[in-house]
Amino acid sequence: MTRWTRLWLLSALFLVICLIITIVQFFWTDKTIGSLVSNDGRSVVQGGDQPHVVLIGIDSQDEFWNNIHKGAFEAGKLFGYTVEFKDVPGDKQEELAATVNRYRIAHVDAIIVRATEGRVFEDAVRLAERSGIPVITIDSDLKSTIRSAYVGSYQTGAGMFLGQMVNDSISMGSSVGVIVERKSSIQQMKRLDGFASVLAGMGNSIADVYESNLSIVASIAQTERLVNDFPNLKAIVGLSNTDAPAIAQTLKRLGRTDIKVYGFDESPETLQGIREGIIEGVLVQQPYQMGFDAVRMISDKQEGKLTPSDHYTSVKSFTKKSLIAQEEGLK
Amino acid sequence: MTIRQKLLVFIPVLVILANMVAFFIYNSSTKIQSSYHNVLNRMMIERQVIKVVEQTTNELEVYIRDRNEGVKANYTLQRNKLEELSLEITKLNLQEPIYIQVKNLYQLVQSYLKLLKQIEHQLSDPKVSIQSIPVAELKQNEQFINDEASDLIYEELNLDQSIYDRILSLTLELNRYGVALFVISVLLSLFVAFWLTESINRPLNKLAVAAQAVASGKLDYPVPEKETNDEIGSLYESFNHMVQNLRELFVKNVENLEKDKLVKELELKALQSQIHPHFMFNTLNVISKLAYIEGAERASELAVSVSNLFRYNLRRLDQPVMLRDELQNATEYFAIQKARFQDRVKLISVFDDDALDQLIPCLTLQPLLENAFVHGIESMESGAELQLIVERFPSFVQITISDNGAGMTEQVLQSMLTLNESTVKGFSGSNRTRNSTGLGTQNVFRRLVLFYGKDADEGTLNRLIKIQSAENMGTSIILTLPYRNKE
Repeated sequence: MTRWTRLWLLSALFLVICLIITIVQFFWTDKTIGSLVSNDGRSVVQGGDQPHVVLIGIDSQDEFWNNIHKGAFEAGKLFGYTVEFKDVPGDKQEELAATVNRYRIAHVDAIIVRATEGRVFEDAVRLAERSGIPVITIDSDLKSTIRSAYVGSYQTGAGMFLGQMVNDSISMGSSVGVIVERKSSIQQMKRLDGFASVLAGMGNSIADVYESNLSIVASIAQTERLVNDFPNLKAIVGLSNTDAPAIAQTLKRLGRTDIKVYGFDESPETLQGIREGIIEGVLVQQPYQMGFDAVRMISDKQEGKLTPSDHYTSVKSFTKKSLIAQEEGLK
Repeated sequence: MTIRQKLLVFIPVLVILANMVAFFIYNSSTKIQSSYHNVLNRMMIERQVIKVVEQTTNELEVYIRDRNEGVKANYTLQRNKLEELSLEITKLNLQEPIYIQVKNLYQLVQSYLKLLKQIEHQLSDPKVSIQSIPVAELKQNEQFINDEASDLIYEELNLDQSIYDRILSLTLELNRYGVALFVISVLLSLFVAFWLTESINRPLNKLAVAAQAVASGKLDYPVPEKETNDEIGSLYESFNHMVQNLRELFVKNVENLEKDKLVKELELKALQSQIHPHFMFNTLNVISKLAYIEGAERASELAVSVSNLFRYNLRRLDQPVMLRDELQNATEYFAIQKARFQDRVKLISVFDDDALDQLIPCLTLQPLLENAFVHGIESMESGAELQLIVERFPSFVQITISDNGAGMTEQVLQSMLTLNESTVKGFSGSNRTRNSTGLGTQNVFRRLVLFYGKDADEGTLNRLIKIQSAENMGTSIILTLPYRNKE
């Protein structure tokens, strides 16, 4: 065999190998596409006949609500419930009421909803209850007890707890600024009530209460307003979960680090603020527990067990000290 | 592998390869298309629900307003459409995570249909007050269906986004493989095509070069060795065999040429040594005159006869002559023989005058007479008789030459009447007793056949010539010649 023939044969062999490899690759890719295409890449649900619970929240992207979803999902898996998550941004009661009505007509087995105020919403809840669909409020409750149950923090208590934390770190007779989500929110007002009562007990006072409407930009604006309006503030408290980081960053920018910042609930930004020392402390709720307990309560109800009409989940405080202790504990 | 087998295997392989690539690409694109179709179909159903519910509500309102059978039919049509559509919803795949919403939509439509039933029932009572009909509830329900279906379509799109991103990237990958497959298969085809043509062309070229060399006379050109067992291989074998034969033939040819050359030289020498026949013939004439002057009349006559015989024999043998001349010559010949045999031999000749114009090949009769002398009469002591009879028939001339001599055996007789070359050769060959003309009887017969017959075959021979012979009784040769004269 000459050198030329050998070279020729080798290149032909190489080409054949390339061809085989390409064909295999081609088929493999083709098969992958085929499996993606065959059911549009979606896994078909097994046991789609499970009872169906809908959890109507605000924003799934939010850390707090995300944890509620996780809890509810896990409980659903555990107790055999399909949990549907529905976001209704904002807090227009008409929209929320319409959603509740929609699920009532869609014959869900239970509704978990973050309550808002107003007759329209209450009517929707009432209708659902009347047609045999239990409504459980979560995180935020209604005034009246038309719903089956409430699962979430004891808001007045949480407010008092936070008041205690503030009292411990400021001198008597100080004035404190407050930012709430909305003054019309029962949840926020309950927190405020508790907070104010404890604060008053120590001779401190609330300078004013401003609304942030869960908007970061609004939180910043209201902080600036509070600092402008009341230069002698010793502390600013944010009662909704997005407030504290915004307040802390604004004060830092304004050079008013003498004003202590308190807030609600943990988020990466909040924890970072505590670590940096620009946030004094936060009161952390148990969103995962709320979600989990809400679904478990529905399961209990279906099984005929007696369930409380108010199920409070615990709260705990987070300060720089406790955070470091916790991190060291983890180590 | 033969060329035929190679072509039969590789051409289909290449065609299949090329088509395979096209088929693969077509197949996968069809799959993707059908998936787009599926998703689109889902959304079409969901969109359809919104539309049909809206139309149903409208038709119902018209029905409530007009309350006649015509509009009721319209309404019923819409409602049935919706019922069918709700069945379509149940047929949608229940897939994570949107199956709950599909279920919701189904339930909402069911509630809507239930409400429609209730309203229909109410409407069947003509006294019912319009105010008690839950139209507001129905409208609300319609709104919910609209919301749910819109949400669902939104979710479908959301969900499909990631899947389609993947499918798209996989499709791009697939396209790249498709292009690679195409390029490789083209390269491979070229390779195979080159290899195929090369495997045919190279040995053929080699053979062509060798053939050209051999054709130009280089018989000692080294014969190429066959490399393959295909058709070209056998061509090589044949070629080599041919060259081998050619070489042997060439050697033989050279030998023959040399032999011929020698023969030619000999002949030339022989001719050089021969006396010019005209000189002989003139000399004979002088002898005749001299003999006559000296009173030897018979010797003079004999010399004239010999002279005439020479003259006749010297003429061009390929020209036909008149029978008259031929007979004259035969008579001269007999005269010479008579001088030798004296009274031992007698010639009886009968000539039909009408036959004397007959055209006949030159020197036909003399060899036959000679034959009669040599084989028939020579050995007879006395009473030898030769007959030469020429008769004219309307279409032919019959010449009979007969003797009463020794006769011939059947075998000799048969051998005389064959035309094959070996015998012809034999008669003119040296193994025979040479006679005066140097021509044998077979030579005569052959010329007769060629002259009179259309075909030089045995049939013509048998038609023209008959020989009757019996041992010790004599021989007669009968020539039956078609009449032919100068005109």
